[in-house]
Amino acid sequence: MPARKAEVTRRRFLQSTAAAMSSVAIVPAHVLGGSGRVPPSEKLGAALIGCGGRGPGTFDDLHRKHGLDVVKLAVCDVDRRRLELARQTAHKQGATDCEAYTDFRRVIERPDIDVVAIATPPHWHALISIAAMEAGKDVLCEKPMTRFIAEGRAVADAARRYGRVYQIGTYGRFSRHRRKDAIRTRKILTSGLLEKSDAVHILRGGFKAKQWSGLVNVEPRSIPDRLDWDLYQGPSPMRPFHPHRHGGSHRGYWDYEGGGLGDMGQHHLDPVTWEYGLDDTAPVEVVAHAPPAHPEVTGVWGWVELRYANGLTLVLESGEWGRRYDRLEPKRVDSSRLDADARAKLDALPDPEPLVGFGDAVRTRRQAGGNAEAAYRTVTIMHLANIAIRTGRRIRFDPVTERIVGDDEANRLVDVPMRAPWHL
Amino acid sequence: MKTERSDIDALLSRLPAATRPGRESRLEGPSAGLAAELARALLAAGREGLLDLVGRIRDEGGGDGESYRPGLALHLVALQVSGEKQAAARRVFCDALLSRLGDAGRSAGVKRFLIRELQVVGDATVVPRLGALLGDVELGETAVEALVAIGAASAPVLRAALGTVSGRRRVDIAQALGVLRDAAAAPELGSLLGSSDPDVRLAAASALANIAPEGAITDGILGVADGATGWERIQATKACLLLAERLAQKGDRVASRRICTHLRDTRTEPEERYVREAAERALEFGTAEDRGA
Repeated sequence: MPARKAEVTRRRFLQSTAAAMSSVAIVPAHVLGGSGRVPPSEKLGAALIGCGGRGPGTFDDLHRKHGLDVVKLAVCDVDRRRLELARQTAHKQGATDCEAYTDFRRVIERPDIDVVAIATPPHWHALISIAAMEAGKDVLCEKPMTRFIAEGRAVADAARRYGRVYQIGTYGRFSRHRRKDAIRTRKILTSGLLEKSDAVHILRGGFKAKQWSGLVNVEPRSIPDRLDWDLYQGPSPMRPFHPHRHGGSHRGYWDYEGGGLGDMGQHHLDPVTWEYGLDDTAPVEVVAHAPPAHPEVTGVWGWVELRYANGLTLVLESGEWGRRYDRLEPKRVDSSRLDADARAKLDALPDPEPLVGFGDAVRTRRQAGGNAEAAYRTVTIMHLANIAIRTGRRIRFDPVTERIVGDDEANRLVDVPMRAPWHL
Repeated sequence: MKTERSDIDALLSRLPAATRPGRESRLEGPSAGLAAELARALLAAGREGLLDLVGRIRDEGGGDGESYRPGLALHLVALQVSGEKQAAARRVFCDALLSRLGDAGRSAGVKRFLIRELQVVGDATVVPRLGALLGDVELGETAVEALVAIGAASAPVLRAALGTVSGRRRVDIAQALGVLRDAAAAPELGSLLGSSDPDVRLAAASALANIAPEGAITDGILGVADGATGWERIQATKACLLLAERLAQKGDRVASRRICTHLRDTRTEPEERYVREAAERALEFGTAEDRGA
């Protein structure tokens, strides 16, 4: 079978399972009970993997933000100092059965854990998300969703294959989808009433490009006893230890994240992709204004222009390097170009369904608003921007095959080899 | 064209200073125009110029505080020779790097840097030389990653090495062959399903699932999944579901259905209900496809 046809068939299969998921109630494993496990209540067993940074907050959010009745059963980190702090915190909160792990695989194989919160550095996000869903667990994962494009497709496939709930840890679309102007924009662009758009959406500032630039000239250090460096590196190339590669500043290295764009891109783009109806497509052409990137450390950049097949243009401008973006002016999606008949049809269209929060999604087995497919399409924008920055070339992307067109070397950044035994 | 060391010195000096010279620093440049100019000049210096540049690369932190410059310059050249219509320049670049991988006096860290640059821009012509490194304790892992990035042209050397290595490198290579979907590797991967090393078994099962070769490997992969517990069972079961999808894509719906039926009928414990449901959804989809076919 030709590869393209096979790919479409696979997608159809996975889409069918997604449809099934939206209509069939799948009770979390722990609530069902099982051999050696007694369901004492409707509490969900919860685990946190990655205890630094946002980790504790994300763990607490399972209840505080998402209203889930959870019992904290496990915390996991490759840094034993952080791990012990997280364990102590859980115990102080009353979760006296909460156990500590340095290897996430031991958490994943526990059948009494239903929900996993993931707050590791991003080079682990996809693999742990996938592994958790393969073990029947629902996932709340911090942004950015992935380190490279192919990981996102694999996460979305896993969510569909296993009928699991996935929510990315950024929520801009949840407020945007209540705004009347955003609803109208979305309706115009998703209704098919406007075939082409000349809209230009410019996101200026807030990308932390300098803040999350990596360091060159670093002197390798001894690996601290408390840290499992091999497991920290995981799927990324093995490197000498340096503290700047760990503990937040990891964002400055391509091995783990994508600089300021990696840190902030998904936050800024999540509401935009909802508003413009971009949850099932990707830019087709990307141009960056940036200095050539170092092969290992992230750096500064000026702006990136991303154009969609329907004519919509997104611009990400850091304001931290180079000349100001002046190729296009911001331009709203405008219904005045519609004729009277089309405007009447537009006015008659129902508003989009309210987005489902993670807690409701877990309880009702519906897709979460920031589900894996939507998060994947959003994070792809960010990754394409970084590929244009890293290669210094104009990138043409096919949203169907999810590959860069006519540039084999750039495609090596779409699907990055992983260090065994880790693989998608 | 003969290139003086002073020429290379002059070119490198045009790269912007690090923000904290002599110390760990961030980079703020160079401009795209300067980068392209430097890369062209270095390429014009030919093989000798590139070898001079390679010779200046030091381990991280091991230089004079400005040691990032030669490595960055080499990467700029790699970007310059990427893309279409650059075959001749690419050949010169790759040959220069390959020629230094065997140097006894060069550190493993520097050699890994060179291999990663070959990962950026190498093509089929570099495969044999990288393949020769697969058994190298210090360089083999990096070579595997570069070969996977280069793609299908790498499959023969990886396949040839699979039976000659052991331990983690065997896992590396089995996994790589799966990523490349190398059908010719299926027989040897199949023999690894019986390995006593669980990492090797899993790598083989995952690779075979991705390849979905013709022939009787289904029972072997199902056997790995059925006989495993914990992490290995979860991962091997995933391989079964992936194999079912791949077989269906290839039109072998009978084999695909057999896998899903097996999972549906054997995953009867409550904690594997989600596997049973995934198999049921796949079966329902297959039935719908059959109706539509």
